[in-house]
Amino acid sequence: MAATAKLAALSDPTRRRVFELVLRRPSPVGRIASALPVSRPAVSQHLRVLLDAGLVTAERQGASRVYRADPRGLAELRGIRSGDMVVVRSRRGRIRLAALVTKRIRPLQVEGNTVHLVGLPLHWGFDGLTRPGHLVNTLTPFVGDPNVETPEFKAFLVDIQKA
Amino acid sequence: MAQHALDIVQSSATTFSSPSARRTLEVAKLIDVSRCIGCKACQAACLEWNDLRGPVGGFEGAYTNPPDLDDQNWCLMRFHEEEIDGALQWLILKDGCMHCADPGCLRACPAPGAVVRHSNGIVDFDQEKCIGCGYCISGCPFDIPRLRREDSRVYKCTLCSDRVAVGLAPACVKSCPTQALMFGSRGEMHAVAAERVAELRGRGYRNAAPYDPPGVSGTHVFYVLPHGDRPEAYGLPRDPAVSPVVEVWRSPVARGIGVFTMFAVLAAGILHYMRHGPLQAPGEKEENEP
Repeated sequence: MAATAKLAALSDPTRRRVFELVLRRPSPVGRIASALPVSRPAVSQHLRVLLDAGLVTAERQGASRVYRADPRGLAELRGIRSGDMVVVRSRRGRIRLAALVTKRIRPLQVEGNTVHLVGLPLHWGFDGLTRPGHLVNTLTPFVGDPNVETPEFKAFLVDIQKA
Repeated sequence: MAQHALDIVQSSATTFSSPSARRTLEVAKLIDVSRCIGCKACQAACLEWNDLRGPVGGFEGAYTNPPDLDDQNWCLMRFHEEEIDGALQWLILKDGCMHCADPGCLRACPAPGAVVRHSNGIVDFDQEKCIGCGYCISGCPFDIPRLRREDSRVYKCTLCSDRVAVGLAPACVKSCPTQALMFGSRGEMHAVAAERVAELRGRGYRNAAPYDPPGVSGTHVFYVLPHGDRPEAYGLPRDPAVSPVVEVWRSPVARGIGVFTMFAVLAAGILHYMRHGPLQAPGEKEENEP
């Protein structure tokens, strides 16, 4: 239901542009209006629709309201802090490991949906020179390039929860 | 400590005037944060040269590893994610001893000769004379020295005084792949810092500035900060100076008063004993009387 509302909200091209401007930089109405060939009340109207669809949030700052795309990253939504143990699950298995939460990786907005990014480095093994750990390879799909006979499993879907 | 005793200009808890028989060139290490890529080669080089190997810690959710300076880690890259002017900045700073010209550690130290300042500016610890009290840690405006539990001595970056004594650059400087770390005479390093600041300002870092705090009379390790108007964002104290507590309580006058007080209390005790004899419990007197 939320997805259709979001897609509907972005059906208007001007509204899409308003959303893109807000995505790039949290802004009050005035700044958005000055960047577009439409009037201030029109921009306000578009922002109202985006707000109702849950694509933007508004925050009071002094006399004006600043609009921004939902800034909350996955960590905040799931209550995960840096250093917490988490369980990462894919179709092929689950592993337990410690999380590093960073603002340097931001959620993507794809067709009105927020897509979060979870990075999994491969710096350890089950033997472990310092400490053993669950293998990240448990999660990866068995996809290969038959022409060069090399693995090709870099991106896949996961769920992440606090352990 | 590899340098000759003649090079010592200032020594902790000592009031001798240095013989000044040998004046060496004042050196400095310049850390240009704009060139640093956070590779930690300096951390590794420092461990290698000084033969340090701390215990393996745990992952605490940060790139800053180990989480703090300690007696086995004298050089630490600190990572900070800060919002500056609406944009996210990943600030990486090499933390370690600043080798102040007016060192708080030296002023606070009660052990004669445990902390020395050489004529080239390096502030060195002599572990053989250290008594492990930890006053240097409180006296340092940058919170650098660390106590080793096993031998009760304090340790910190030595600016590779042993390498510098034979004309080499410190190990960290040698290992830096981007030339973010530079080493040379203090005057040269100030000139290079000024050039770098000018270039950064020209490239859009309007607030680029050197960090060479006057509160400690300048340092022999100083930074070029791209966001020089907010050293706190990098984890550096804004206006560091030797604490007034150290200034007053560790001054020669205060130390003199302290020693005098010790002897005065001893003398008072002896005089009291001569007049009033040993302490007697109230019941005892009645028993001894026939």
